[in-house]
Amino acid sequence: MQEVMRLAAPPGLVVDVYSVDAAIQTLSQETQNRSTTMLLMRSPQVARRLYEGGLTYSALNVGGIGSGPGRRNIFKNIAASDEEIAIMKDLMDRGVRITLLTVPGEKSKEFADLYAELKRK
Amino acid sequence: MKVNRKQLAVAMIVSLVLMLAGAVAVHAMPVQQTGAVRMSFLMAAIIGILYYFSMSPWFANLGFTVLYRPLIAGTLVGIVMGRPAEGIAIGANINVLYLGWISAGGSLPGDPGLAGYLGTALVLGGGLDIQAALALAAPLGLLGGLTWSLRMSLCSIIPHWADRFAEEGNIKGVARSNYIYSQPFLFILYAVPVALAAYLGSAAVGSALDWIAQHAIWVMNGLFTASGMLAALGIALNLKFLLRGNVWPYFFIGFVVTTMMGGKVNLLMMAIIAACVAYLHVLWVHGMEATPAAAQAQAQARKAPGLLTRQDVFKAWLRWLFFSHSTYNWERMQGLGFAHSMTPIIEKLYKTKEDISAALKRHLIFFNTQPDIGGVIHGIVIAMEEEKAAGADISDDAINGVKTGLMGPMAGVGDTIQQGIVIPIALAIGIGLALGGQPQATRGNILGPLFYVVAVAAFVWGVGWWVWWQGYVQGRAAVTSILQSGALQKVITGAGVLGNFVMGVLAVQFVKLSTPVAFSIGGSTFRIQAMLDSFMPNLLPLILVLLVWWLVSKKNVSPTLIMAAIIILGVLGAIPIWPGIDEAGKAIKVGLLGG
Repeated sequence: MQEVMRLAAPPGLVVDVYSVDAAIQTLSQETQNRSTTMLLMRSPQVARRLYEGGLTYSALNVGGIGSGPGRRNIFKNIAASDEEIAIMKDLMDRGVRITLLTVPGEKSKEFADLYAELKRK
Repeated sequence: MKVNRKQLAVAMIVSLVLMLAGAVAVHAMPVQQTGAVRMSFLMAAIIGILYYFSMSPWFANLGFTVLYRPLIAGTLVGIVMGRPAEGIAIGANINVLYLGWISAGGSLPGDPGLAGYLGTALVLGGGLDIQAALALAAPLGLLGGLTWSLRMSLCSIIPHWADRFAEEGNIKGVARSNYIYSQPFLFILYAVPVALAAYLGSAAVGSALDWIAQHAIWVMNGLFTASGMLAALGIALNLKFLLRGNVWPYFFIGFVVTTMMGGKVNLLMMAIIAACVAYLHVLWVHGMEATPAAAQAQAQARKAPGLLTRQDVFKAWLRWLFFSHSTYNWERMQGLGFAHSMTPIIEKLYKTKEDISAALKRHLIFFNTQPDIGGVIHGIVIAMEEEKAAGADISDDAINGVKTGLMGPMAGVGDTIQQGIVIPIALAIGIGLALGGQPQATRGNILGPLFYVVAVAAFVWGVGWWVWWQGYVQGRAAVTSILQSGALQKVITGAGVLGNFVMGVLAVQFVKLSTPVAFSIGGSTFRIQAMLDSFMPNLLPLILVLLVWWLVSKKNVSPTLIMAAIIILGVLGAIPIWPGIDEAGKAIKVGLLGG
């Protein structure tokens, strides 16, 4: 699967795949010429583990996450469980700006607004 | 096995005969020369139904890829309204604006189909000039995006019905949920409003524009100018993907060569030159790279347990081809379409109610990928199901892992190839053939739309089935062997050369911008446009295309905003407050911009 990720990336992009712990260790190291890095992760749970492991960040985008049992659509084709919503709220409270956007160029949605809407319901 | 090929061949021959018959009919039809067509209720109803067909993957996935494109929409509306040649010309002109239109990841930024069907109907029904058509049809495409969210939300209900059928082990029920239950709703959502708008709108639009033409002719001039400028947006959106790497110079070569030839070039001939140049470029850049040995070693068949025949795999492909997006929705996207495509496989492999129910539920979950190239995933999953049924220990998680792991990467690769390369290039050549290199042509050539249909059908059917079959034959190795074979990168590079060159030609032919401003000082006249032309002809269109390209790809400005800005700019630029000189040499007031 790592090979597929590398082959599907546009030419010129370097793709590395890490476990959560290895990612924290590698990316927390101070290096001099780090190139711009986009961090892709599978779920809000991973986002929290990274944050709590010391790899803090100020902004997080939530892309398409599929639905399933115990999950509901919160914005377009983005679904989340109650636990995941709580995790995102937690990260937001710690100062992370969370946006929801599935395709570049579309209008993104602020998680803060969405959370207020969800609470009202 | 052979039966399938025969069936496919027969289907293709029938389609070709139908299209040829259409071509003959189009050119033999008596054509009224001028004036509006009176829109009958029947005509409006057929136009509405055609739009509905275009919003479904009906007709072997040629709905979204073919019927939805304004070039084809204009042709069909023209045939329905008895003005085929005019319809082709109108559709081709509208389509230039949507050349770079891409719908990825379930988003729908604008609606080319609505612009094509309703736009052409209003233009023919209202007796409008083709150039007015563009400025009218552009905003129509923005309206269509509104219904998308409604469709995607409401269709989210249907997979839950399918869940109940899956619980009962009812294979046919799951299939029906996908291709029948959503259709009445989609029909009402798409066919009815368009039929009504076409029926009621034609006369209204015609008289409104007549009123404008009588009372403020400069607004009409402004709309004409805007339509020539809007083409820059369609081309710039395409260049967003093309103007990069080491292939960008070919855009400028195409532009300058066409300008030197006065703009009137045969696009097919230019495309042949461009294809030869692309071949040389690829040879030069990738020439000595051999195909990686690893990829060749992997490209071998796995041992199939022999529970499925080629015919079963083909049946599954057919269901996906026709109904992948029938119940597209926010909650599970193509999930129900995926389950439907697996129904022939499940029926053949599993016999007990429990096994059938488990298999149906396994495939009803969220799924979304590009339908042609992504078919490799279905092939792999069919192979896994076959092995599972033969007794291999393959868990639900293993199958889900393959689906969710591959759907993203294959969507990226597939959209790049189908929506980013195949469709725009086929459209560009189709538009060029339809108009014979003259955007002002009022009568189009049926060869343009025909070329497009054949080219896209060859890709969607040919490549689609090949990829699907490779997935089944090779199993998981198929993905790496397809992606790794150097061919893919070569095709993408070559297409980049071809695409850039063709966009350069189209930019000259369709983007129109000039200035009529002129003044005289002490007896000598200065015409700004003549001065610009002596510097370089077509300078303003080139600057406009590059400016819009910069805005969309570097500044992330939304195309909708640019579209609105161009229309406003075109109309404001037409206000006659600037100095000009008419043909007789008298000083008059003119607009700042002209077409």
